[in-house]
Amino acid sequence: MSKAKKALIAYMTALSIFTVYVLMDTFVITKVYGEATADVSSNVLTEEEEDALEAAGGKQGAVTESNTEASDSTGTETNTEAVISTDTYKDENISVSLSEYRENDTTVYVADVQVSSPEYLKTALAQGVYGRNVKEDTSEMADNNNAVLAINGDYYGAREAGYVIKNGTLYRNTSAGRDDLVIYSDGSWKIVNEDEVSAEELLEDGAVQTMSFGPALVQSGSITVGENEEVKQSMSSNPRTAIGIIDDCHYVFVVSDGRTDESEGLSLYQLAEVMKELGCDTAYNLDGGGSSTMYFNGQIVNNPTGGRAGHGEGSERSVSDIVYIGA
Amino acid sequence: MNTQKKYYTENVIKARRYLIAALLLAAAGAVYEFFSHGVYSNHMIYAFAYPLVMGCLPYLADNRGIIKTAGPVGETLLMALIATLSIGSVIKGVLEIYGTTSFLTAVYPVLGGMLLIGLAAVYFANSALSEAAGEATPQILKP
Repeated sequence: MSKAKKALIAYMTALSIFTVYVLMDTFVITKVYGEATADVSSNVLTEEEEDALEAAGGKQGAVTESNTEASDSTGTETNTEAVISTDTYKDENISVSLSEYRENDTTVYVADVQVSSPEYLKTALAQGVYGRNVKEDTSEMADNNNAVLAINGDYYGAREAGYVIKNGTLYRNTSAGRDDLVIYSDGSWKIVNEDEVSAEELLEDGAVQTMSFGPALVQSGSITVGENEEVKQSMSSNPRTAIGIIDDCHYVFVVSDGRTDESEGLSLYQLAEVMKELGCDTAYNLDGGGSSTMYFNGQIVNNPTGGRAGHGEGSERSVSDIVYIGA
Repeated sequence: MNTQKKYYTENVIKARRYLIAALLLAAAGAVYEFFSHGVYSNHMIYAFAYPLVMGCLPYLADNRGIIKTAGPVGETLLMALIATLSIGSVIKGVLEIYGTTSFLTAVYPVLGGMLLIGLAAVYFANSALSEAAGEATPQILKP
């Protein structure tokens, strides 16, 4: 064998090993950069409340009322009765109403949320840590954080850049040039471009959450995406996740099914139309496709398509983070 | 068999290998795209272009012995270059379809650039050596 051929074999072997490492580094090797700072210990529901959530059952479950006490974010009991059913949750501070309807041959799930304080809109990181390839199912994260309602977030861990501010802590300050949804401590929402303001400045201005995915769907009540606009190379019809604000402390969490015979999926523009029809002043597209998951009262509401089970139960895709409503 | 015909036959055999590589990459890309829920990546779709454009077509068109001038080292560098860029393109496509990124994918074009420089250096060095040895410039080869 000539020296040139030996060198080629050695090079190809090295290239193969490097390629396997690239794939492992991207999809498998877990890198934890820091722990989430949100204190969830104060959010533990009472045993009675957990029983009430279980009693509410799944999508087919019976309407159940309970006489339970919810705890506020400071851990003090407020003697609030949580009224829980299959499609509603109501206590002194949180009111959630879930509805399901068809739009463009697609099943759309809308959770209308009203809270007494913007502090009840929170985010959580998979396994309680910030890092790459740190993933967990949306429903698991929701359970672990005692969420009443949860949707998948921006899946920050799938990308190397883009601001990550969660619950008032800055985890990543590298710009990806995206338009971010910024949620401030006073409850206001704003769409900002990462190239125009630093993450540190956002934090100084009172930002408590950033969502770095996009695009923005609605701003000042008007649709801001074009009819043919898509997320990079995605096809037009997809499962979608979006979040919007209607008024102070009045939000909508929206998830649509897609990629199935029963539910085609929405284009970004169709999703923007849904958010506008719901009355959103600002609405933002979150990670969709197989990641799209909505969790409410202990159950997965939609039919995720991200797992090995195809779609429906057991087919959640593990993601980096969630957005949730919880005490 | 005269020398020209021999070179041409060798070139056709090498071109066929690159054509097979191009077809395999095109098939792999098509299968991957089929299962990607409509998310497409140009890097995945057009990965086959590297062996086709940089390997198959040059060998078929090379009737002047230009590639031969680069010698076995040059041809090995060309093969490594095509493999590097093809694999890099497929990996970039996989990541794009999943919706993720990795700075490590930048290594492939960097390696490709280094191999291309090496290939050019080998080619010009061999040309200079041939001229210094008083050999004729690459003869026109025809089948």
